Amino acid sequence: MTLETAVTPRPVSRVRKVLGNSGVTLGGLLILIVALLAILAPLIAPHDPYAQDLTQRFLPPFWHDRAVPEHLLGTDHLGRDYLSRLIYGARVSLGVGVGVVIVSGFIGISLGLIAGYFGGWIDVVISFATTIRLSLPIVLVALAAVAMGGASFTTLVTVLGLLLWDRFAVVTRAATQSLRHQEFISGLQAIGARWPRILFLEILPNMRGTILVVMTLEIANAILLESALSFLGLGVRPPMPSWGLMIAEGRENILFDPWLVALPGAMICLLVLAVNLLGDGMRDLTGEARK
Amino acid sequence: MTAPLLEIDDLHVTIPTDRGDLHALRGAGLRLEAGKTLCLVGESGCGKSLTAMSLMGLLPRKARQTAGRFALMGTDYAGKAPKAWAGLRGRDMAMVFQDPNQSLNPTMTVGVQMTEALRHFEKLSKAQAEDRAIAMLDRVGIADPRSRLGQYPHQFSGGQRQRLMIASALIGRPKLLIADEPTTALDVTIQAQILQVIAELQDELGLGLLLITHDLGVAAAIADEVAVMYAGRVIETGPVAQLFAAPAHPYTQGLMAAIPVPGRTRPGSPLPAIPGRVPGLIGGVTGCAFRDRCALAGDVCASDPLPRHAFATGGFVECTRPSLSETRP
Amino acid sequence: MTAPQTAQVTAHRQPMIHLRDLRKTYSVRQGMFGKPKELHAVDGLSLEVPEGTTLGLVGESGCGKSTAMSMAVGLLRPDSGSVSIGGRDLYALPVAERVRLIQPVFQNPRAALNPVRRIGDLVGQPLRLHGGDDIARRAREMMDRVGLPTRLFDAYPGELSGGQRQRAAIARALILEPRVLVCDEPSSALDVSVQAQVLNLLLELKRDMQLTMIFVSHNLAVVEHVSDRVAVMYLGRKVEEAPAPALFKTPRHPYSRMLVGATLVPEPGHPLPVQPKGQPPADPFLAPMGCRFAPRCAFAQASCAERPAPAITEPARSFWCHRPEAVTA
Repeated sequence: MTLETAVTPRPVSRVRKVLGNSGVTLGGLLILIVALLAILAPLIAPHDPYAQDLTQRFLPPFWHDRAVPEHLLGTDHLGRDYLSRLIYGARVSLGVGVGVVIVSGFIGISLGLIAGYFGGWIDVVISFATTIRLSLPIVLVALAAVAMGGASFTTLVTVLGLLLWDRFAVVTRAATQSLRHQEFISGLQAIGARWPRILFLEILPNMRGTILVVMTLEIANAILLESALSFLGLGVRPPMPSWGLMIAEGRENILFDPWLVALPGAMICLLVLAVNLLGDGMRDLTGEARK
Repeated sequence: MTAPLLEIDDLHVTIPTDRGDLHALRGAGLRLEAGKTLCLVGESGCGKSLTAMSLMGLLPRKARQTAGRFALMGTDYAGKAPKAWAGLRGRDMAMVFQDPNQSLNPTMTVGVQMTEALRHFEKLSKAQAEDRAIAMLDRVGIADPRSRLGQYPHQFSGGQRQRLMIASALIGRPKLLIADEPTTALDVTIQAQILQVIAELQDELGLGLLLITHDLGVAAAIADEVAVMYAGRVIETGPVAQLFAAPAHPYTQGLMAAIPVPGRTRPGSPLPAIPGRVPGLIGGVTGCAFRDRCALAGDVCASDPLPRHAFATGGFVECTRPSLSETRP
Repeated sequence: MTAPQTAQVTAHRQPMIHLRDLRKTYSVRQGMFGKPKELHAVDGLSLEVPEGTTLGLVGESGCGKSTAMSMAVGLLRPDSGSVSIGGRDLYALPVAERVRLIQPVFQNPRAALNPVRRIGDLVGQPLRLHGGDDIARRAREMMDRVGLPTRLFDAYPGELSGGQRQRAAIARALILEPRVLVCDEPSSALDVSVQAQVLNLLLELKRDMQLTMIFVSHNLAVVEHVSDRVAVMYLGRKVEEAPAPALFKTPRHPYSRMLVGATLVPEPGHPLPVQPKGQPPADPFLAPMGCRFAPRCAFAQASCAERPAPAITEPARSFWCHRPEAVTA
């Protein structure tokens, strides 16, 4: 049923559609808050997250009797202000999330485009590489890599970036294959465009929506992995405030001072939930738009 | 006087969209006698496929439909619940679509697809249903039908798949066959074969055939009557010979003039093309939808209702200035 | 004759585009574990098109016309044979020169333009890739030339109608001012009235820009209208070539006759073309080494399948058949 002569689509209500989607609005709002925390950390945080005060150890948060007004969310085992550490922790989480996705996205998208466009043995090789990657246990590989390179922010981002490209590759490859035989590609070849231009400047923009969705989901993935690795001592090094690390450091006192674990845990949950909401919302939007 | 097989009057279908209500069908109507062929012709967006969908109860969920009269074999279903009409599907009414790849289930064998409806409606045993299927496959020209019952659609060529669709549709011996662009996706030589099969079966079974097409050549070849649609309305109908010899509506004339005919149009000469585009149907149209593209249009064309002239030779045209002639007064 | 005159005559006789004995074979695996079979998509095709004329290329699906045209345009390297334009071997030239010699226009206006690019960018892109200047102005000029309102310069393809998109595709193909234009079913996906507009545009541009055209289509009426000469292809080979009106009035090869006979004209009163029953579909794997049409030919004898058919040359036309006397009877 073609009604194309009668109805010409216009992006008039696109803004309304975007805002009307609860996933995008809610998720986007939460991420925005966390991002602001991360960016404005030096202005918002009441204390220096690294400042220790051994006289003020294990102070509880404000809803407790023993709470102290200058440390709204209490202090940790070294007397460092928890609120400030949580705020600065957003930097680490978001930083790792975005950093990893940039690296893994670049690798995965390039591989997917090339595999989908050329097919043949190139596709076989890349698909095989993807299969190998999928059969690797990420945490163990990260373990080994960190053992060799030492735990640090840069090592973490590099290692995770080199490991988390598989979903990008698979999705991009499928999308490229579906576009590969459209006539505008032949048209480009006929006017002498070369394959790098065709892949990155002509085919890639057609997948913006899909890639954006994958990106948000991979950010969530990266944040969770960073927390896990930092918890294991393989992520960022103390005294850097990472939520995962904070959980590890508070683990021993969980029975007496549960907030040490609960607060950073809640932040991780919140951020990952927000990213997933945003990703789901965007998937709905781009799915609709495709019809 | 026996009632016509199919009679539709004042059919309106509205589809809500982001930008308002799309009045896709604005009072379309048609009549089909048993054993005859009516070709519904028009270009994309005119509503011909939607009419077929409406007949089969396959409109999109959001669509709203009203009709003055919606009758099969004399019984009017316009006021009744959609369920009553839907019960006729597969039994008294069958449909053949344009793309056989989309209509045949690739995971089921041909035998199962052809017999399942039969066994459901007529309560036949597997053996009886298969015999009927084999007979039908033979009738549509599939060689060695018994062995092919166990095969899957992908093992047939495009033309053969279309024959399968026709066989599946007609195996229940319906009274009405609706064919929506059945040959558009096929090669020219296969098209001729498929049309021949349809025409022969129609004679044999006394079917009424409603054939929807944008190809005037197909209409000229097999229609008894032709109805021309534009922007959701039927603007001209008539017996095929009359309509082609003396088209009365400016749109019909424009359509026919725009087609090159070997031996008639001078090669290399510019074809008279109808200027402009089909108007948007959001919010409906008052007056004649063709007037912006019509050389004969005047102020009187902007208001409803549009005059309808009934031809002595059969059919009608809806126009303020139809081209009447001696052969078709 | 003096030397300059001879040169002039020779130059006049040299075709603008000359395809010599093009071949392209694919190895197709039958199922996952089957032995690969050879598919001769194009099997020794030769075509010559004099400057400023249009050659129509007709054939049904699987005849190899699209593959042949991909080779002609420089997109697919032939296994053997050559493509010369203006006497120069296309595949010996660098891409930057190839693109100024020959350009394609494709069938599907929906897929022919990158949906994320604006029309102005698309039309001007060939110039950008090959170091042109004043690109925006020349793009607007070209859009004007093909009848696209310049307000569409910043629009996306999704906002244009099918006919407008096809015009944009034509503008993009012609902005480099190629000598040869290959149109692969340029109007098949369009409505009749829009098709007429696009055909008129192509004819006009061909005259103004002195283009040489190859027009590929399965619609014989359209081909007859725009072409000077027509070549008929079947399963990778050319079976007949003749001036357009002659081919339609008196086709000589049995396949051409079948094709012309199956073409439906918008004139009622002609009986449906009688097709012999039980014809096998055109299967490239079952085609014999000799005449490929033999399995479907009403006049075939056993010997026809053994050797390739010889060329029967008449003034201005040729066709390939073993038994021309039987066919003309």
